[in-house]
Amino acid sequence: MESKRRANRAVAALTEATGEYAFLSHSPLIHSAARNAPMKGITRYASVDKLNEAYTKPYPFLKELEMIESLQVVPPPRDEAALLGEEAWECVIQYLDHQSLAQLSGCCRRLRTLVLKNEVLDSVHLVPYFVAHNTINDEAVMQSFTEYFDTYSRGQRVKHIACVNSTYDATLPPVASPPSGNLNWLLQMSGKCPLLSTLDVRGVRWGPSLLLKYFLSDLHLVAPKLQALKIGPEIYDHWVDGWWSRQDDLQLFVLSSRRLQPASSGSEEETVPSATVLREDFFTMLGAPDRNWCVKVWCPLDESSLKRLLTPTAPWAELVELTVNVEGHVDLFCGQPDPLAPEDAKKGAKVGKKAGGENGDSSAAFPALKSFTVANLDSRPAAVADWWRKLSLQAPNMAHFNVCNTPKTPVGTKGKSKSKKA
Amino acid sequence: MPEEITSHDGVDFSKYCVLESNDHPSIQFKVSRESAKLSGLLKDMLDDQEGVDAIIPIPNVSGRTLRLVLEYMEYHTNNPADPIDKPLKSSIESLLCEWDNNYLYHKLLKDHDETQHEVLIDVIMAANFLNVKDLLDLTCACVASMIRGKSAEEIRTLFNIENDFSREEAEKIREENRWCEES
Repeated sequence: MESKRRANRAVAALTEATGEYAFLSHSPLIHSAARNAPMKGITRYASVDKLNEAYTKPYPFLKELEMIESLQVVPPPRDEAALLGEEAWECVIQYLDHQSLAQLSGCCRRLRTLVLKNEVLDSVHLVPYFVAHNTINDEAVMQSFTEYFDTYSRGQRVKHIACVNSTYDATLPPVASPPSGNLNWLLQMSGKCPLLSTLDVRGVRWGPSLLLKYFLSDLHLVAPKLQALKIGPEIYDHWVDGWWSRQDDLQLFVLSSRRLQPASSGSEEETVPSATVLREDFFTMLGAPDRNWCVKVWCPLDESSLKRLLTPTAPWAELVELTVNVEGHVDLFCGQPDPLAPEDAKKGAKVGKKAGGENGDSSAAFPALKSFTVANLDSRPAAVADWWRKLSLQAPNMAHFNVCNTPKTPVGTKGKSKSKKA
Repeated sequence: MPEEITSHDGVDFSKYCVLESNDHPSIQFKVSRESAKLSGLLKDMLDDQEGVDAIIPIPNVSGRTLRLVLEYMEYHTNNPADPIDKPLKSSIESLLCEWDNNYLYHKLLKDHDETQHEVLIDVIMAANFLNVKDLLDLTCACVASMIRGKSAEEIRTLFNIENDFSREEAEKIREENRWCEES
């Protein structure tokens, strides 16, 4: 009670001293001078961000600024290459072909580094992705191309070289003759690619003849790690005995191409391509141990070569995949004495498999064969059954039996291809 | 079209999130969570903030660019874009659906004019930052389509790229690339 009385006395004393200007307030911040000033409402904000938000005013001319920008015809210059990050350029590079990448790499140092780092060069299809069909015989172009692979270790990334892309080749008209090329630059370019594992030289007429003669024998010097070689009949004509034995990793050998055959006009005077005779050394190659051979012979063969290939005296123990063109010899297996009736063919195949087991039958001609393709049986569809019956007995481990045609057909009419899973 | 908002009142944060551009003041867009998750960056953030009012500032992207990116994301939420073959074998126009063509050639490239590609570059940077893969692919393929068939000099002019090669380097590169110029 005493303290309250004291407080009241103190207030009375203050009032007496300051006169009419003194008044009581809850807040010491409100000065007596503000007494007559108009009082405003005090807003309490939840946070400093809310306070900022309330006091930030939008730019009053934003719409006008956007309108002026939209009317600006000439964009203000800015280096777009510098603006875009590496990831964006890497994405752009993925969408560019090799010619555009070569041009882009000539723009500035940064883009050059990015292109060299990101260009995909595992698989090089010269025509049409690098050079046009008609410039493959241009010495200057091909020389510059070889230099292109020599610089910045581009060649060290190449694992697959195909002179003509097979999909592109299929789109060419049937009468189009292959371009001519010089084996010299091909060997030079192969030499720049130490990891080269697949070389496809089909689709080009090669010269000069002197180099053709030594191409197969010297190939191991420029491409020692070759696993697959695809050649045309022109190079096959210059076969050198034992060349394959110097290619330790070679497993796939393709002779000619499914699409390199002359067009079928349907006339009786149609030129029949000359039959290829398989060399003695070719059969030695097939019998070589420790190679899981995949051999595709797309060109027509003479009868004795075909017979020797399909009915060998000793089994082709290492042959895993075989393709043969039987044009002109469709009846090779027709009418031969067969221990099984046609309706029991499947059963026979099963019996053969059982007898051969996983390791193959020692009496079978193709104990390791998993895939067999026979080309140009279409003239005699009935013969397919004969071939199937024969092969299913001779190849107990065969998983795929394919039938197809080789003649190049005009664009839009694709050749038929059938496959049967054994 | 992405909805621009001025207040968060009434935003159902269980279905939507709010993205803020880097403008001053920022422009805010209400976006469905489903659309926002087309962006790898936003997906990670939204997954972390499940059940929380998601108001996400996008520091590197302006309101104008963000609106275009969100427009693409909203359209393609239930219409996934078809992948574009790499490398391009023809002009990109023939590979795209009508909506993408209109978006690319009328909104990103002004009036189909490839020299006016400022917005396109901004959207590429935004798509890269937000990790919107399909949009990055589309816009990068568009840049690649603009580069196809042009010489180095033409590419430099188109994108205002400074030639920083010395004369000797330029000569060497020209020799190295002669195969593509002559073919």
